[in-house]
Formats: sequence, C-alpha cells, structure tokens
Amino acid sequence: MKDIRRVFSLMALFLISGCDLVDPAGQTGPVQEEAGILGDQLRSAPTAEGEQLTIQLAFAADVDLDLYVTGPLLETVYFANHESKSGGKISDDVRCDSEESGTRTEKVIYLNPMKGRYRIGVDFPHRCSGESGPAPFAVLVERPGEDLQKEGSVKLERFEVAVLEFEL
Amino acid sequence: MNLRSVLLLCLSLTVFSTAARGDGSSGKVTAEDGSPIVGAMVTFRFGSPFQERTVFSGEDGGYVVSGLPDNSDFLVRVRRIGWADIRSPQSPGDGTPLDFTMTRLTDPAEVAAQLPANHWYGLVLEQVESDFEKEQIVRQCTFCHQQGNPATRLQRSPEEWHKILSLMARMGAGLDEEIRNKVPELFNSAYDPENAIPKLTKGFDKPGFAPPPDAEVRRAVIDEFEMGGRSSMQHDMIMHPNGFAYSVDMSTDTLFRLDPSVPSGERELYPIPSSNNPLGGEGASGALPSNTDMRVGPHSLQVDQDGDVWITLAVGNQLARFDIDEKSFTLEDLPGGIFPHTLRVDDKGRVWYTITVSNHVGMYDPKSGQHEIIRIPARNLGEEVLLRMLPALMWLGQTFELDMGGGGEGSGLPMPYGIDFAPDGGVWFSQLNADRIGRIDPETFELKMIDTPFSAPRRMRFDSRGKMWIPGFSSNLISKFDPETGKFENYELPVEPLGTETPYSVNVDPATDDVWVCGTNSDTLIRYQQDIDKFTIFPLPTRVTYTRDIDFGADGSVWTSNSNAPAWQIETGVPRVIRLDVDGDTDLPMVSANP
Ligand code: HEC
Repeated sequence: MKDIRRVFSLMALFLISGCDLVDPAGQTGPVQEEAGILGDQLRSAPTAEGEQLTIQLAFAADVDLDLYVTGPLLETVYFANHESKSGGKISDDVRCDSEESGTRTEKVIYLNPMKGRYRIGVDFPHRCSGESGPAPFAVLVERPGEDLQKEGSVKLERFEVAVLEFEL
Repeated sequence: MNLRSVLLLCLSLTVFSTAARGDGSSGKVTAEDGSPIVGAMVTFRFGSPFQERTVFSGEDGGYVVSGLPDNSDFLVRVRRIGWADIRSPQSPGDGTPLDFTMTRLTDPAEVAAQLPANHWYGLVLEQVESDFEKEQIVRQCTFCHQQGNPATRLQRSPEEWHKILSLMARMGAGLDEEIRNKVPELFNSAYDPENAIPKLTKGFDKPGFAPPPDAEVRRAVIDEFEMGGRSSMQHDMIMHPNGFAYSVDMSTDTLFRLDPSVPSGERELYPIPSSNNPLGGEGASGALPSNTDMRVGPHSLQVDQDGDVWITLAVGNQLARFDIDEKSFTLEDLPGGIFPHTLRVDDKGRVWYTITVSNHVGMYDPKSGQHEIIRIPARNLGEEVLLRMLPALMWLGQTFELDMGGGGEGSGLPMPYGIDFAPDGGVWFSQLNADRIGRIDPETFELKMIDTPFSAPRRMRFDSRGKMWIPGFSSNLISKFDPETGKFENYELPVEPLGTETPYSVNVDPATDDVWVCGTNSDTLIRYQQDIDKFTIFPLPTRVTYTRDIDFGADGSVWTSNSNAPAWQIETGVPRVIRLDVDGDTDLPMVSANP
C-alpha cells in the first residue's frame, strides 16, 4: 500500500489527472437518484436575493465534498481561499466533523457579480463513513434571470474541476 | 561600461537636470523631509496588454526612464521597503520632471507585508530542527508556488491545514504523515503576527534594514510584459535568435510570441492542438488546479537549427514542433514513458528530453524518425519494480476506488529533470529526488550516474568552459561540477535571510560565463560572476515573482517568466514575461541609464 501511495503522489506530482466525465449521459442508479433528491432540496429553499449570484453545493453527511467557484478573474473561492478579488465569498467549510446531520451545503455568494465566465468544481477529499463508491451531489446556481442546476457524482479523491461552467 | 553607455549616461544626466525627454521621464524620489530615497523602484505601466518598465532611483533620489511610448497614459508606481507605495496615473508627459514624495511607514505589520515570501518562510524553517523534515517541506512545498507569500502565510485552523495538505498531496506535494501532523502548529506559530512581525521588522528604525541595492544593481532596467490570461502558467520562455520571445502557457495549452521591440510588446498566440484530450490529459487520479484548461500541458521549449521551436507536451505525452514561418504545429507521440519535461536540441538536430514520471531520458531524431527511450536507474530494486508497474497502477487508480488517505511519500521517486549538453557532446541530466546527475553517451547511449553532495539537483547548465552548474533546490546553493575531475564546488546563495532560497534553475550567459540563478522564493534574479567570485542580487518589482528558467537575448538581456501557480497569488494576479537589462544598455528605442 505504501508503494502504491507513492505512485499516486508521484502521478499527481505532475498534475496528470483524469477527470472522468461527471454523470455520463444515460447513467442511472441509486447515486443519480440521491443526487436528484439533493437537487430537489436545494431548489426548495432558494437563498439568492436581488442581483446577487449564489452557488450552492449539496451532499450527504457520510462524505466531505468541497465546492470550488472560479470567477471571471480566474481566481477560485474555496475552503482555503475564502474570498476572491472579484467579490466571491464562501461559507464555512463543512467537513466530516461538522455538526450538521442530513444534507450538507456549501455556498459561495457574489453580492455584485462581475460579468464573465464562471466555473464550478467539486472535490471529494474524504469519506466520513458508509460505503465506498462515488458520492452524489447537486449544484444550484441562482443568478439574475434563469437558475442553473447540475446533479452528478464524484469519485473519492477525484477533483472534478469543471462540473458546470456558465456565463453571466 | 562602454562608450555608448557613457554617452547615454551623460545624456540622461543632462536631461535629468532640465526636463524629461519625449520618450521618457525623470524626476526625484524623496522622503517627506526632502532627503533622497535611494533604490526606490519606479515602475511605469503602459499599453494593453501592459508592459511595466522599472528603474531604480540613484544616490540623490533621481531616476531616469527612457524608451516609453509617446502618447500613452501611464500608471506609475513607486516602491521602496519601509515606505508606502505610491500609485499615480499620468497622462502623456510634457517633459516636466515627475517627482515623488514617499511616506515612511510606521506600522510594522505593513513593513513586514512588503517583504518577499522567503523572509516569511524563513520563520517556518527556523523552527524545524530535523534536516530531513526541513528538506521535505522545502522540496515538496515550493515547486508550484512560493511559500510565505500573502496567500500562504495565513494562520488557519488545523482542520483547514489538513485539508490543504491533502489537496496539495493529490497535486503532488506529498509530506510524510509525521510532518503533516506538525504543519498546522508549525505554520501557525511561525506566521502568528506576534511572532512574525517583531522578528521581520527588527532594526526597522536603523539604516541596515532592507538596504537599497548597490549602485551596480540600480543601473538595471526591468521590463515585465503581461502574458496570457489570469490562469496562465507561463512555465518556461526562451529568446529566439530572431529577437522574439516565445513562452508556453501550461494552463491554457498556448504558445505565445512576444515582440519586445514594439512599445508594450506585440503578442501573437498559437493554440496547441489538444486532440480532444480530457482536462489534465490522458492520465490518472490526482487533483488539477481549479482554474486549469490544460489538456496537453506545454512545459518547456527550445529552438532547433532551422529556427523551429520544439515543445514538450507534458500531459499530452508528445513532442511538438512549431514551424515559426508557417505558424503550425507537428506533433510526435512518445513511444514510451510518462511526462516529457525539459529538452535540448543537439548539433545533429536530435531532440533530447527528460521524462520525469517514468524515470527515462528520451531522444528523437526528426530526420530519421528514430526514437530512443533510455531507462535511468532507480535507487533500489523496490523503486525499479514500482516504476515498471506504473502504467498498470495508473490504470488501476482510474478504475477502482483506492483511498490513499490524501497522503504521499515525501521522499518521492527519482525523476530525470534538467538536461544539457557538455561541450564534448555528452548528454547530462539531473535526477531530482535521487540527488544524482548522470551522463549519456550521445552515440552509444551508455549511462553513468554520479551522486551530488547536496540535495535536489534541479535544472542545470554547462558553461563555455565545460563546467556544469547545478542549483540545489532544497539546499540553497549552486554547485560547479567538473566532469573531468568529478569534483563539485558548492556556493551558498547569499539571499537574506540565509538558507531561505529555492533556486529552481540556472543558466550561464554564453557571452560572459556569468551564472544566473532563479531567486524563486525571493522575487529576485541572482548573478554569480565566476571570474571575480561575486554574487549580485537583482530584486524584481512584482511581489510573488516565481521563476523556473532563464534565457538570454542577443543583446545580453536576461529573461525569465513568472509562473507562480496559482496565478492569483501573484501581486495583481497577472503572469508576466520578464526582461532584466543589467546595465540599462539595451539598444534603442529601449534605452535607459540611471544617475
Ligand atoms: C503541484 C503544485 C503545488 C505544490 C507542490 C504545492 N501547492 Fe499549494 N497550491 C497549489 C495550487 C494549484 C493551489 C490552488 C488550489 C486550486 O487551484 O484549486 C494551492 C493552494 C495552496 C494554499 C491556499 C492558498 C491559495 O492561494 O489557494 C496553501 C496554503 C498552499 N497551497 C500550501 C501548500 C503547502 C503547505 C505545500 C506543501 C505541502 C504546497 N502548497 C505545495 C499548488 C501546489
């Protein structure tokens, strides 16, 4: 195991990374169903006000997922860069040790969002408990005009850097 | 100083005492009490995409900058450690001197914030007692971005640190578990303002604090050319004999060309075909930077005898040849190996390149189509077996869920890294993580390995006398190796605080045999003049200037690029290609001389 670990750190060393397509077309099953439920929960409780842009990630309590939002200035707001120059701010990181039970959310808000391209990434760094396998997630983008949503799944220790991209 | 520089200097001095020239500006930088501020960096930004030209103020506070475009607006910034930055928009000059009065800082926290990252990282390193641990956190944590820059010197909760370390590990920065467990306390106590600020600003009220660069350095003119977008990683750049600079952006798979003779620089960009690769290339697990668009990952570039540009496509596992006239690419798949890295083209037009992940050196002869993949020895049998199993393991990692615990082994596997030719044609390379260099016979491919008496030999180069210069990335030195005697001579880098530099690369000026070193963690370029045994440190104007390679223009100018990744950590967030004109003596219209 130790040696396999070395290989993995080495492969990553050079930023070689396969980003499997999130939720390949036509895929169905329990993970997709769970993702659908997470999506419904997000949509049932809208949070954005006025002209602001809000991006939410929902996931189950047995995993730690992380939300990454890259704004038009190509700076990413995530758990280690809490605020970006283009005005994005992320809520507190929700981790395995967080209090909330049930569905968990992380949220990024831009109060006065810049025009331009946004990218949403989802990472699955740790499993907290439960069975192995991909973790379902849902993303909701609330923006002036029409909302966007994406449901999918992510494999353990895979960082899907672009689950959704959109223009504002 | 040659006659032309003397004439230029006289001209500039005369100009200075009267008024600025049409294509330049001059003035004086003083403190509020009227005393001169020596060694202030006066930076003129103009054009879009911008160029920034920086000169230093002299003994009397005076500065002269030449070669500015006539009808341009400027953003001028004046900067000197200990004083508040001045930012001043200017319309096209009418020749009136532009004088600046700087305000002394009184808040030590603001002074500390002006210091380059290595000062801050020194506070971490001074607390690490074990050499092994120090070696790991230097080698593993400083090869993509600086440590100690504003984004990385924050205090964070232990949980946040652990998550960062696990993300960094998946990007390749593996630390042993024991060290990982120490990081939160180590970094938080080092960066605690109560600890850091008094230490960093000790002696602020005394003249010895952050002394101005000496007169020789103050003659330098530094140009920075905005390059690529805000996610760009201009990994390497070269000066082409045709006078253009070429630079590869690993993050957007683009080759850039810069014509520096045009005010603010004229840029052309050539997207590299990525053959529908997924983001990150056809590869394995791990984590990519969140803002990347890399599918082939152009890493390094060199010019061949025909003037074409060869590029290693690190995650595309290809070599690319760029025809500079047709402006088109030809791609050549590697027959084996993983991650083509640094390359050189020999006299016969053969391309030699290191292949880091799989521990190979490759050779491609475009005339005959011949490929050679030379396996470099590992340190022991275990590593050897592991390296051979690599492709299978990578496939496994993609196919099955394997919880790696976000960890990695800090020591790392051996990686052929830098590469260069000796004057006798021998192909030399460094093997990072294994602390070795090696030689390959260019005809028989016979291989010889030599241990280095220092850690982390990175990108090395030969001088014209047949000596090889090697930077010790985690050992704060450069070393001179004589292939005839097999002897190494080490030269510690004098960057203050001592022991905090991470030299990524060296190059040797072909005209002077001066050795130039990337001051990767200190925002500097460092010159070592071997004939007079003298180091000179040239500070660069932009905070968080992370450099990985150096090249020279035909006019003697020294070039590099700022490739800190992520780019958002760079002051202003904009990657740059950088030219250092050591004596302010580059050909017109880019002339300047400082009093
Ligand atoms: C392989 C390249 C690489 C190495 C090596 C590396 N980092 Fe990073 N680091 C990054 C990238 C890229 C980001 C931004 C994350 C993203 O793009 O999602 C980052 C972000 C960070 C951040 C958060 C600040 C920010 O700007 O987002 C910290 C703190 C940090 N790294 C510390 C470290 C430490 C400590 C090490 C050594 C264990 C290390 N890094 C090694 C690439 C690297």
